[in-house]
Amino acid sequence: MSEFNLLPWREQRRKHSIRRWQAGLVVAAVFTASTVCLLDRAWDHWLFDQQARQQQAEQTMAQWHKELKADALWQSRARMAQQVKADWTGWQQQQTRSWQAMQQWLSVPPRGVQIERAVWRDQQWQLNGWALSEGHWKNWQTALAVGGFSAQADRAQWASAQWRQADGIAAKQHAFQLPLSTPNSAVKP
Amino acid sequence: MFRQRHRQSLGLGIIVNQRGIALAQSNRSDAHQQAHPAWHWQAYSVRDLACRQTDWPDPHCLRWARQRSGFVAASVAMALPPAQLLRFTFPVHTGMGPKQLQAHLQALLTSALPWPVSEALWDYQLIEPQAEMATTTLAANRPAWLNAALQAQPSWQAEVLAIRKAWAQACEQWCRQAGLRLVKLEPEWQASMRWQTVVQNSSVAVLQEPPCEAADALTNSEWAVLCGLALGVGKP
Repeated sequence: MSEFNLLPWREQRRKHSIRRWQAGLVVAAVFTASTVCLLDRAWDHWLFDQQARQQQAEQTMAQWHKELKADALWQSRARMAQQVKADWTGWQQQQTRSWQAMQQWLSVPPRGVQIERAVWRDQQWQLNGWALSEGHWKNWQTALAVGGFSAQADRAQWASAQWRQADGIAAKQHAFQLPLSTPNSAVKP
Repeated sequence: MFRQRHRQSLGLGIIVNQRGIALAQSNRSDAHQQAHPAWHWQAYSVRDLACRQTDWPDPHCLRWARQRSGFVAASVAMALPPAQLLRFTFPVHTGMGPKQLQAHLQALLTSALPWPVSEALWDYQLIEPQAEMATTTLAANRPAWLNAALQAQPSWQAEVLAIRKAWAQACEQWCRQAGLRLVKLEPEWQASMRWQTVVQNSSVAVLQEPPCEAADALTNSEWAVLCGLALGVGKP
């Protein structure tokens, strides 16, 4: 069936749709602007709170630093830390020297000698161990001397032989203690 | 708000004849099973008949009729008398868009109307050509290829109705002075056909003739137009 309408309904419908679209656009723009504004305000508020919290934390930290610096324990620890810092390079050099020395005396084959304990103390190695005989021990000292080590015979200790079981074999062995210094150990860092 | 929305969903069909004004209000959606729309007849008084000098009666008559009827609708549909209407049929191509089609029809109307097209209001409707109509256009004296090409070409008919804008403006102003808003101007035959279609498809028994109390005021055709106007006022 026909549906004529001589009033300009098409034009009105077009205007109505344009008005509706414009209204939608305005609503969308207002909504977007208000949302952005709200988010901006929320962000500013959060940022302000964060800055206030940070400032308060910094003030608390400064206060704690102030109180710590006045504390005797803190002062002693600070002096110790400074001392450690000052001695750190010397310790590093000493560690390097001890490591190099250990590498050197380990390179000498300990025939008939068993090293049980090695301690770095007073710029020299203190070796404790067991030797099958005095000959083995002397030969080892000679090999160490060839390698540049000087065994301090006056401070060396040599015990009489005693039965000892090592690695499942019972043998008579002599306990010994030998201070071993490198040729440049006299120079302190 | 509910009252306003309710008013917007309703519409009035108005018919003006020599004896008075007839109003019919469209039914609400839940009242489709009624026999006919609610209607009201307002006869002219002797004073109105004496004062009537123009085509349009006094707007107060319409306002008074609406108040007495108790109708709340503010949207109005009116029928175009055949004397005001010009009817054309133009062939158009289906490939045209709405804007292009309107421009094409406006160009055709410019030469067809007896007054400038700027002073006219017009509306169109596309009609698909019937199969027998397409065959009748075949001419025996034309070559076969031309007939085939004419048949292959998608060609529709545009039925165009036009009225003078001044008449429509006067009608709109008359409604506005009565506190109503004119939303539809349609030919009488269209409104009448709408009512007849509804009557034929109605599940309840509806008489095409006016009720006995309207028989003195309205003719059968006027009654059909009035009811059709009330039914179609809600559509564009």
